[in-house]
Amino acid sequence: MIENIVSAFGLFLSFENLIVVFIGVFIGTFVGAIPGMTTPMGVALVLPFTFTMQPITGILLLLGVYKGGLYGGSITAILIKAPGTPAASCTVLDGFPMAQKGEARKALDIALYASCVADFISNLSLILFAGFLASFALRFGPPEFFTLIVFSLTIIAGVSGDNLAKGIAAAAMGLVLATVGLDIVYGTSRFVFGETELMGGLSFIPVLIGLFALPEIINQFTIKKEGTAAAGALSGMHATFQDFKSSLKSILRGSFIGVILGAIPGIGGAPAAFLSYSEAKRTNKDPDSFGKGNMEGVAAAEAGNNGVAGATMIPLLALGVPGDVVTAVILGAFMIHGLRPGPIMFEQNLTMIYALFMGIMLSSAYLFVIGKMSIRAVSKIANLPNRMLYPAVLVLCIFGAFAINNNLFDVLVMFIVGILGFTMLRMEIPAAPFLIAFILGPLLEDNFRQALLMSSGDALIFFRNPICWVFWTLTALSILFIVRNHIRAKRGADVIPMAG
Amino acid sequence: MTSATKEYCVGIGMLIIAVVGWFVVIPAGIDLPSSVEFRALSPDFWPHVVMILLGICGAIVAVQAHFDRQRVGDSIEAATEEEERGEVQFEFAASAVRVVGALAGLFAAYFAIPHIGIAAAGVVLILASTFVLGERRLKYTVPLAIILPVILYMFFVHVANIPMPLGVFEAFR
Repeated sequence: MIENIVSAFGLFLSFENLIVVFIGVFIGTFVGAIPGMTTPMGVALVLPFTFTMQPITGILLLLGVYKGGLYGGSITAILIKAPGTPAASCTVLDGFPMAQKGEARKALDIALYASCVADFISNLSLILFAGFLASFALRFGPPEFFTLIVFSLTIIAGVSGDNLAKGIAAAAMGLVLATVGLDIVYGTSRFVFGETELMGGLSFIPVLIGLFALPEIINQFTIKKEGTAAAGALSGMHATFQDFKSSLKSILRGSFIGVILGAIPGIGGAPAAFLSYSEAKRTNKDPDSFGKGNMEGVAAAEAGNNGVAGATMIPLLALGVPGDVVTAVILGAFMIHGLRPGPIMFEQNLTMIYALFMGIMLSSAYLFVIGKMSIRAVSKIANLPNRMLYPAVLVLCIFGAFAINNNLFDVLVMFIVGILGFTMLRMEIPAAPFLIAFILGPLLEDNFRQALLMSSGDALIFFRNPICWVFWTLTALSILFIVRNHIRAKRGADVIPMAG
Repeated sequence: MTSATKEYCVGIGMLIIAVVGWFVVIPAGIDLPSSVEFRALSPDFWPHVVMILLGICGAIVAVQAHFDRQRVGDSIEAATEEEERGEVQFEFAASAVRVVGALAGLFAAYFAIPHIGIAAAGVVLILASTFVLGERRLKYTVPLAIILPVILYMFFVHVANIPMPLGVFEAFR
């Protein structure tokens, strides 16, 4: 183990790696802060730039963007009541009232401290638990991986928003798109229609950029006039050590809530932030002060949000399945660099895993530095009008899509998927399930077919051992839970208009 | 169009896609081997499963929307539609024209890239799209339109070593 750690130091400690983590957190903070730009979009736009980097460098850059994005959303949430990320919408509840009372600096400082502490705790949980889970997953064969991925696909429900059926339909479309290309068993063509470019399947990055970046850009053309929110003044005193100490309990509780929820595929930062917030409110001596500018509200929300970051990497690194949309993108990035996260990677490439852990810990330190440095600049960037920003992002998308295979066809794929994504946006069909299914679809089908080949067509192989049974049970429970919540939410929505 | 009606159309659309997929796209798009050991190993097995899933989801969305429409009440929906129809139609037409124009611009850029190069296409695209979106301050849009594509070109070609098409400007390299 010591040799692996020493080798990992050698792999990680290069000027390039130290710089890219910094750049990644920097970019992520700005992207997260701009309303209308999402962290998945930021990761998607940065991904093409990692092609020529070493795998460890490229992955660290993307992780930096992810970490920065989680914090960046809170800056505009506090200053202009415009959360840059969905998870930062909880930070608005007390952050913006604090800014209105002239305590913007204190709110921003506490948000930063909470983010850094939670991020650090989340990274520790990743380092402690990922290896343990990976060693367990070494017992998995194709049937076990198939049942695991089926369970992972239930995370689709976690990102489907209000309409579960639409989310599953979006996933179905993603699964279909993933079948384009040559059949892995028989070598015959599927949905190629004579186009040689399609024989290798659709490239992941044009689909990703087309799905997450282009629809927002196209949608901008439907808006008649864009309003601009004026940034609130950076007023008031900085947070003191006493302020931090008084919020520490909420920060630690929120961090652990984030870790637990983050490790469960599909939950994400927003539910963790809101749960942490509600717990802080419930246990506070003055719960009525929440929502009116209570510093602990900001601390709890940010701790829950950022506590998720490292923990979502646990299922990704240990099992090879993504915990949320961004880790699904990062899984794609691993594959592009010829790496397959999961138990085999822990066996064969432990040095790389340790190097990633080191980079992830460094990103927490950078988050603190960049957070302190960037608040003023970010508050100005948030005022950039979309009519200037989106055309620039569009050109970036075109360069990025072309650069993958040096092929204009990928740009065409991006445009067509962008039109599909725009249609989905207007029809309120969520895009995240589409992407997750697109990434997991080939794994699902391959493991299914390998298992059947092993068993000579006997479907009972999918129930061959307790591991399979556990995943089937978890899948069933997950679906039951989701459907029940969905029905309850629907009944609640029906009651409100009737009461009105 | 009210929310429930839109959802109903989405559900029906999904059903249609599933049916067309099953009867037209899959038979036309998938080459089957002469013999398949097990049905579940056939190249068209998963696409068929997915079409079933899509059809079921489409049916669920359509049925839910149908009941929502019933709950809201036809008279209320009709009255609301009548009021909104005038202004909404105009807004919709204007938006649709802008979107179609934007998409035409994207495909024009796609076909122009091999001829004028990716950087030049980027310049034109930024100028055109900022103009359409309402930005008239040339002192910002012109520098942005020139600097960003050039920087991106320089990065990919000279830093990332990924060749980028220059089109007619190839002669000036």
